[in-house]
Amino acid sequence: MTSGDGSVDRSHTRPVTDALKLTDVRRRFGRSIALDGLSLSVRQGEIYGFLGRNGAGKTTTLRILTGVLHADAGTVEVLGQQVRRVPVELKRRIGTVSQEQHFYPWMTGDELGRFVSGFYPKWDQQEFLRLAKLLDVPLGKRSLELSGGTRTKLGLALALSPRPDLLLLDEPTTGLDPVARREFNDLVKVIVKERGCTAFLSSHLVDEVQQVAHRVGIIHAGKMRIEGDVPQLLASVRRIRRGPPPVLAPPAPPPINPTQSAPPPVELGPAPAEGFVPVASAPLDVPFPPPGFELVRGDVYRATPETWASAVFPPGTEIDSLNLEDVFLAFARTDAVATAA
Amino acid sequence: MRRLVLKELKEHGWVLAVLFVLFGLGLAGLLSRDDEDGGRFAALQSFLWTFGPVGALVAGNRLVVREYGGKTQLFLEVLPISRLRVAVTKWLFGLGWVWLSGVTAWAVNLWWQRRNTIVSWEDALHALVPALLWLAACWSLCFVAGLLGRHRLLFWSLLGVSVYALEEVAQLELRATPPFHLVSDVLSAANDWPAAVDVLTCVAIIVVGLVTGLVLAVAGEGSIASALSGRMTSRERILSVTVVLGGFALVATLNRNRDRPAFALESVKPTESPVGPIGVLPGEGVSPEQAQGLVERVAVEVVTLVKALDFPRLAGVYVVSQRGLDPDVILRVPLGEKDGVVYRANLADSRFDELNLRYRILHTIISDHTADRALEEDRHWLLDGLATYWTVRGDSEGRAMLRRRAAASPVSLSVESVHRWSETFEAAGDCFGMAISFTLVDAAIDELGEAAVIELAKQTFRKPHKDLRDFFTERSVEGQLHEKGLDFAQLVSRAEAARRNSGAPTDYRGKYELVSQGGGQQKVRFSLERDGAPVMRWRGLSASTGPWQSGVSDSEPTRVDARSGEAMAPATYTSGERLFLAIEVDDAELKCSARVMQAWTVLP
Repeated sequence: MTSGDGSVDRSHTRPVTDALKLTDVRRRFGRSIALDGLSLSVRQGEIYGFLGRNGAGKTTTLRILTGVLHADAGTVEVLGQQVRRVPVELKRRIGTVSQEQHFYPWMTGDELGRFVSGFYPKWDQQEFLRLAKLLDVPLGKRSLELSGGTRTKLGLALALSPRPDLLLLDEPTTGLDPVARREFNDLVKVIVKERGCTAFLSSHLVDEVQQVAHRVGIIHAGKMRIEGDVPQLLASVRRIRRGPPPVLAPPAPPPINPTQSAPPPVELGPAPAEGFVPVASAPLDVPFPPPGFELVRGDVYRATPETWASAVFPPGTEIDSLNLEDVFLAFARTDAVATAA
Repeated sequence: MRRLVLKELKEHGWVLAVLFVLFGLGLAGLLSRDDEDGGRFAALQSFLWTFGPVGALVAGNRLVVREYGGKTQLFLEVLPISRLRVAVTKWLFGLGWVWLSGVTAWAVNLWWQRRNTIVSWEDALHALVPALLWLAACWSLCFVAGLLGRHRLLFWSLLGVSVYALEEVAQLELRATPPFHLVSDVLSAANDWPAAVDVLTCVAIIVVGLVTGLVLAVAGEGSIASALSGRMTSRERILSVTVVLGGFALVATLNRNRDRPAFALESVKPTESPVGPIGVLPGEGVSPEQAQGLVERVAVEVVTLVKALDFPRLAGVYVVSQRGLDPDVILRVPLGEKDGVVYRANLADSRFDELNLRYRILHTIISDHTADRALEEDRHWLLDGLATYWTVRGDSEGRAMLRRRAAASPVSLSVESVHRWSETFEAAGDCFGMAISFTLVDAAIDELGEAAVIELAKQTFRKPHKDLRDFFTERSVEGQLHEKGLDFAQLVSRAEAARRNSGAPTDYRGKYELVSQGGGQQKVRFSLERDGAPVMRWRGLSASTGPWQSGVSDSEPTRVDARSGEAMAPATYTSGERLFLAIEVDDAELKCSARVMQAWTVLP
């Protein structure tokens, strides 16, 4: 799955079944709306990057998926079962690593392993020991004495040892140093590849998600704004720059050789800057935006890759490819802040 | 569930062990005095009243508060175990915890009793069943309180206020009320099953506690208990303190305004005066005629004072003659929940100061009516002075005597000494204190007339405030005097001048000296002389006080009755102790016990 340069191999075979499927899920806390018709699907065997700003609804979604909360409306399917609240039987097939590890401070890693193992029939003690060794977690120390990063790694070892079908990761690497973050993410990638399980990674760290995830969903204000494979996402969302009006070239001098072909009637303005996609020449009166395009924010538009390929733009228009962070910003940044900036 | 129980045992086992040791020591102490208390399970009964609730409180704190407050329940939330199962496990574990201590205490008590007496198993169960019910009820309440998180202290406070209100205001005898009755003497005697109503009440508390606790743990997807477990905001803290203090204030107000039953002396047929019954229990050495004479004198003063100040009818005024008391000792009898004024004094002794008794009765009537607000420093002089004045109101000889006493007083009057009236009165003693307070009121009457001074007293000695507005609109005594055209400093100055002109100051010279006994121990030697000659009959008073004490009560000092010019205090004091010292002499001319020396000292 991982190519030689460390990026994700996104050409893996994807089973058709969804490990997670949320349809029009709503959840409110008093007057505050946390999820406002969220829909998403996570396919079995993939790492799904769930991107969103703080307060976008990521943790609420995770808490619904871990069975801590239930949805007010909408349907939630976890590992093929439609549930109102994730039952205990299903929880046994789910491993969870949270942003903060609320372990019993007096328990050692070893004791935590023994305690947690009692709740999972499929607990693999050898695997726990292996993972703890691999992640360099000292099992003899009390969790109180462990650093934040080591506690998170211990959380991952605890979550993976029951060999779960679904791994829920709620901003697990927040606060970790780059090395620990890389170790954590590498292990997740390896485990997903080896075991064929599914990982749902909530984060607001775009680079991390881009490195790890096969597919990405961007949530904002409790709604899914866009979801898809990363390349597909980048092909769907681009910036359109409308350049200066085209300059009419002076009439060409009469050919010395009357047999020479005539020059084109219109020449496009300044040469496209590096990285810009040159646009085919088009009549001046083409509509903007072309049909099938949806304005995301500012000059960022969204359309299917096919629509992008076939669209005709006015002369002088330049198309800018975006990276995942730009896409995330386009969907998650509020207009008010953008205006102020 | 097994894992959870093992976890709880590992987490709290050591606390359980420590508690067991402490409870064991406590039980041993209770068993050792078991024979004095009576009842075969008296030790168990005491254990249940004290250690039972403590054990439940500790269990609630460890099992519930710690889990939620430490947020470790968020760790449990993501594990495949339901919230209900966690809560039920904790409840059962806590129940096991308190029952284990209860059953152990019961078994030890049973073993202890069976060494000497026969206790049937049925009787033993008579004690065990209510004990277990009581402990389960305590635990259920602690479980709920634990789930209330940061509000548990408020819960306990309100419960405390409620219990206090039930006992004080509603006059409920708690030990006879379910569920408390369950651990009453019935349990101690262990010869019958507990009453059905006690059992049902206890079961109701257990069920309500359990259900409420489970609802709190599960409802709102556990968010209620989680939210409650956080720290209090400052607004919540202020609200909690206000609610608790407000509750106590309300109960205290209700209690104060409650009509308490009047005290009555069965052996005395009191005289029915227009303001209430007044009676004297003669006792040995006091003839019925003498008693009746005192009743009449007291009645005249009480009736006129009560009517003059518009006080409501009194519950009763009684004097009990008690031969064993010193003639200068006049003690108020505490009546508990009964209303009335009862004094004990040695009426039969020839040196008994009747004026002092009558002054005290009037003083008490006024201070009781104002709920002791008349004792506040700014008006205390008026209370003392008015009460004294009333005892000699129609008695010119009495007034002359008071003036002579005031003149003899070693304590003089100044604005500062009147503002620090309690200290001044204590330094002067009853005889001189009454006299100088009389001088002040006498001077005020000279300036304003009796009616104006009575009006001043009526305004000053009203019932406690009905609401807060009274507090802000209340006028001070000095302010009222000023409104009537009399400056307070001027009044004091005139009273002092009148005092000096009324006679000669006392010529007693009292002294004390500290006599080292070695090892930091010291004794106090008093001496008294007059005109250079030692005085033969007098008293030295001494009392050790805490640094917080500003005065001593009548019964507090130890006394030495001197028969020569010197006398050694009977008690030995240690270096660093703070002593109150005074010398009093029964003065034939002044006809009272005059305090001729008073001092406070810290032993070097």
